[in-house]
Amino acid sequence: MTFEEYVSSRGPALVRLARLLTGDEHRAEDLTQEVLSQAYVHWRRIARADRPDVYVRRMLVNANHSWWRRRSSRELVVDSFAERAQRGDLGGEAADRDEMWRLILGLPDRQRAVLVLRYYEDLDDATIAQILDCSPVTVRTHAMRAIANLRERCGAPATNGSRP
Amino acid sequence: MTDLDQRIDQTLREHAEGSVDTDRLLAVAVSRGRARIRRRRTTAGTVLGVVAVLGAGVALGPVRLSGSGPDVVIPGLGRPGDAVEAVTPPRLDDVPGAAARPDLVGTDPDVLHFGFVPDGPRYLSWSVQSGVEMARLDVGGRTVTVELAASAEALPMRAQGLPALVPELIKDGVFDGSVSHAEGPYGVLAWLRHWQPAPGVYARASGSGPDERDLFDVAAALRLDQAHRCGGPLRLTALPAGTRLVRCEVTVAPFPAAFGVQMMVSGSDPGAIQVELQYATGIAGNRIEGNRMIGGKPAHIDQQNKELELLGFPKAHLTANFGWPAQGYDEEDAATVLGGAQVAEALDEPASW
Repeated sequence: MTFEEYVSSRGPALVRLARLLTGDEHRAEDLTQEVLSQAYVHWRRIARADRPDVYVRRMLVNANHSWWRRRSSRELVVDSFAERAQRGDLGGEAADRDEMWRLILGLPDRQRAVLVLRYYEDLDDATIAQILDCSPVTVRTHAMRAIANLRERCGAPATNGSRP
Repeated sequence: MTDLDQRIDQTLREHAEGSVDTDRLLAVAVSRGRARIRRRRTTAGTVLGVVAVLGAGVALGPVRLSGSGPDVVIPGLGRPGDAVEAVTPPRLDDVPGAAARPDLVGTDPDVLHFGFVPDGPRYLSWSVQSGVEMARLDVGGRTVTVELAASAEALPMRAQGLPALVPELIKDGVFDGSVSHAEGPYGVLAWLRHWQPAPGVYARASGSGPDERDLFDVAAALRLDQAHRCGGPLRLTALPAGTRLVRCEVTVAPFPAAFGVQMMVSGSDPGAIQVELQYATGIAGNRIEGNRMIGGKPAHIDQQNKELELLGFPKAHLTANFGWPAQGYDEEDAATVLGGAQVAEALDEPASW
C-alpha cells in the first residue's frame, strides 16, 4: 500500500480518532497531519509492517500523549471541564451526552485512549495493547478504571454488565 | 450493552463525526513530510522548514502550525518586531494594471495586476492560480488576504484568508463593500469584505482580528494602475511541448532569513510538474556533484521521489518534482523546465530580481 492510498482510505478515520483523543477539532487535524508527515518519511518501513494501521495509530496516541505532557496546564484544563459538567444546561439526551463528553475528556490520557479504541474503533484488547505498547492486562485495567470513574461521576448504577 | 456503554458509545460517535478533507490532509502531510526529508538532507537548521511549511500554507489555504493551541490568539504569520524585511514582487512596467484591463486579472499565472502604495502593508506571500490573484499581507502584526478576479464566479467559495471552520462566511458575496464577520477558532473574529475596486474587478479581503479596520486599510492601499511579476527571482523560459504555467506562489514572510517560490507547469492532460526554489540563509553544504547534466550544469535526480534538482545555487535548492501527487511527466520534461529556468543572481537582494 502506498502512502497516498493509506491516507486516502484511513485518513478520515485517523482524524476522527484524533478528535476523540484531543477533544479539540483543530488540534486533531494538526496532530494527524504531524503524525502523517512523520509516517511519510518512514513509509517504506511502516508499509512493510504486518499492520501499518496499528503502527500509525500508535504514533497518533503517543504524539497526543507527548503534546499533553508538554503542556503543563493539562490538569487544570481537564479538571475545569469536569467540574463544569452539570446537567440541565441542555435538554434530555443532549445534556447527558454533553456531560458524558466532559467526563471522558477529564479522564487520564491512557484511560481515555482505551475507551476510544474500544468503543469507537471497536478494537480487541490485544490490538489496543499493541497500539498503546502495553499488555492486554494493562488495557483491561485502564478500561475498568475509566468505567468506574465515569460511573462514579455520572451516577450510573454499578452493574457488571459494562464491557470488562 | 449497558446504559453506560451506550452513552459512552453514542457520545464518542457524536464527537468524532464531521467531515474530513482527505485531499487537504494528504497534501499537507506530504508537504510536511517532504520538508522533513529536505531538512535531513541539508545542515540547514530550521529556517528551510519554515519556508516549506509556509509554502504549504500558501498552496492550501490557512494551515495551522503544529503546536498551536488555545493560547494562540491571532492567526497570522506577520509579527511586528521580527527581523524581517519587506519584499515586493518585481514591477512590470509594460503591463497594464487591473483598472485598465480588468479582463486580464487572473489570466497569466506570472502576472499580478495590482500592487500597493509605497510603505503599504508588507507582503507575506502572493500567488496567481485558477483565475485568482492573491496577496497575503501583514497589517500591524495581523494577516489580511486580498483576492482579485475578473468575475465573481472565479473566486472560490471560501476566502483564502479565513480559518477553515467558519461556515458562516462561506457564501456568495455581494460586491457592494459590505463586511461580514463570524466567530472563528478560539473566539477570534473572522472578517470578510467583498467590493469592486474598479469596474470589472472583483475583490475580496479576509482576515482575523478585533475589528474590520485592517480590511479597509488594505483596500485603501491597493493600487490597480500597476502590474508585478509573480515569480520573483525565478523565471521559467522553457516548458515541455503542450504545457504552460498554471500556478505561481511566492512566500516571503520570513525574508531575509528565507523565501520560497513554487510554480506548477501543466498541459491539457492530467498531471503536472512542480518547480520550487527554496532559499534560506541557513542552507549550507549544498550537494556539488550531480548524477545528471542539464545545459552544462550539474543536476541530481532522486528516482524514488521523482525529483530533479539543478545544482549550483548557493543557499538555495531549485527542484522540479514530477512524482506524486502531480505525475504525468518524466525526467526529460523536468530537465526541460530546469534547463530554461532563470534564477536571479542575488537571491538576497529582491530589488535586483
